[in-house]
Amino acid sequence: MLPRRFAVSTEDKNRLRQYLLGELSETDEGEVEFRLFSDESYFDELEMVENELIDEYARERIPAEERAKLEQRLLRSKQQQQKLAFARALDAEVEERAKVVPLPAPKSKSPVWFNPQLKIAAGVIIAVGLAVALWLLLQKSDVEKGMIALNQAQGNERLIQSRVSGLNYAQNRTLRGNEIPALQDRQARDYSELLFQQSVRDKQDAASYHALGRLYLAERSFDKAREQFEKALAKDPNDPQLQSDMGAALLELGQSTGESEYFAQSLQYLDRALQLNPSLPEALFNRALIYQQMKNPQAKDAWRKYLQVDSTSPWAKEAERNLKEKT
Amino acid sequence: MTDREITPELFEALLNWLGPTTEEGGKKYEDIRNRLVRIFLKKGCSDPEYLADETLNRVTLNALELKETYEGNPLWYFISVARYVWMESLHPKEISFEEVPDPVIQPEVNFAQECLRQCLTLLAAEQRDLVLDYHVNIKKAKIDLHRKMAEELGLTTNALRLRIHRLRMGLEKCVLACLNGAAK
Repeated sequence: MLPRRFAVSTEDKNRLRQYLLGELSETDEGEVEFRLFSDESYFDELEMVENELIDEYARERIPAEERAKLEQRLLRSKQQQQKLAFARALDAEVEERAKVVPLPAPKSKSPVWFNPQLKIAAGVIIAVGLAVALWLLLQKSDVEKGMIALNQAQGNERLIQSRVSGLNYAQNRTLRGNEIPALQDRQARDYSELLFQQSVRDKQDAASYHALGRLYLAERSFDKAREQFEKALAKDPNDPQLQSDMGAALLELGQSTGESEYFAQSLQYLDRALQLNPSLPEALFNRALIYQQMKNPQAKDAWRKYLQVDSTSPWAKEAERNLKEKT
Repeated sequence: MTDREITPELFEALLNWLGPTTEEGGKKYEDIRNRLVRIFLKKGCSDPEYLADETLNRVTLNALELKETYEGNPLWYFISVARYVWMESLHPKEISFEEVPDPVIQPEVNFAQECLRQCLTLLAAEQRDLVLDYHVNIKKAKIDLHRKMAEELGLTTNALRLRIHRLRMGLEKCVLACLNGAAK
């Protein structure tokens, strides 16, 4: 979920600028940090002010005194130097683009087609528009881009035992008692959520709800995942991967709550997925896992069936280990 | 660097100081650590994780006394310890030859721009246009431009600024990953 936002005033912005430049007294700096600890929108604001400062620095529009302070305080670390490199690259890209694309302007209400220069400009814009339209056709959808980000967010460890469609293999990590599980790359996670939510808003289709559900499942927000999968299933009940992922969410819910009723529900979805596609690896993997959890003697056969459709991937190695050690 | 050892008792005392239950204290602990890392990063520290852990360790060592005697929000205490830790980090200590880190190589702009172009292709066309238009370098007219862009999208200028910020952070993340991947 995106953080709740609080109003940030111009005074706040100035104060954050002073904070970044090291111009505040010890007491004021402490107050800023106290608020940074408790107000996520204030942290967003800090990042925006920081970006604006670095942009000014990159464009050499910052007063000399502030420039020196920025260099001394912020730009010493590798991370900040890379932020500066990004700002410079963005500026260069914007400059180059400005040479070929006119600045955005509000639509004019007066007739403009009598102006020959504008006619030429319009021709160029139409040509560019056609090229962009063609380019757009070749682009990935928000869901596809979000899945790339989600895989990046997951990194090399997965927080759940089950196999979720569209997610690459990552080693299952055992969670510590008090640990609050989180995906490895927070920004990639937030970016994927932004794209999925955007897709849900724009399309309201099964694929968008399904993708958002995958994110929540991957980060162990099982109830939220189930809610999204239910919405997706209402739109498309015949997608075997969606059925399997719903089964995975219920499997994880069963494991985390210890309520066996979830396992029974999970099996219904996994069976349905396998009716739709008998060799769907995700569903075969999850079904074997659930039998294993239930200490059902069918677990061995279920893992063997999985290995018949996949004997080489890292998932297969995990299946082999489970077959040998846990059944 | 702290020399005393952090025992399970001290850690438990810290968690109980931070929250009514060990579990809630644990959540608070993780949250404080994450915030410290981010704050140290914003202060330009090269190793924010180390400084955050050092801060937490120092507070943990005093947890038993703090639990009994400290009054007020524990965050203030963390903030003041973090300040000392940060100030100490500003004074370079003597290090052996073997520990001298590799010099920071500032990436070439063109290289970063290549990465940026690759990352821009991951955005939808309207998102790409939005982020590039927003950053157009036109001095004072920029405020006016941002107001017009917000109007056309039916947003307030603050909402537009936040939308751009989210896009920019995603883009920056992608570019840094590209730069760091390419540098390996």
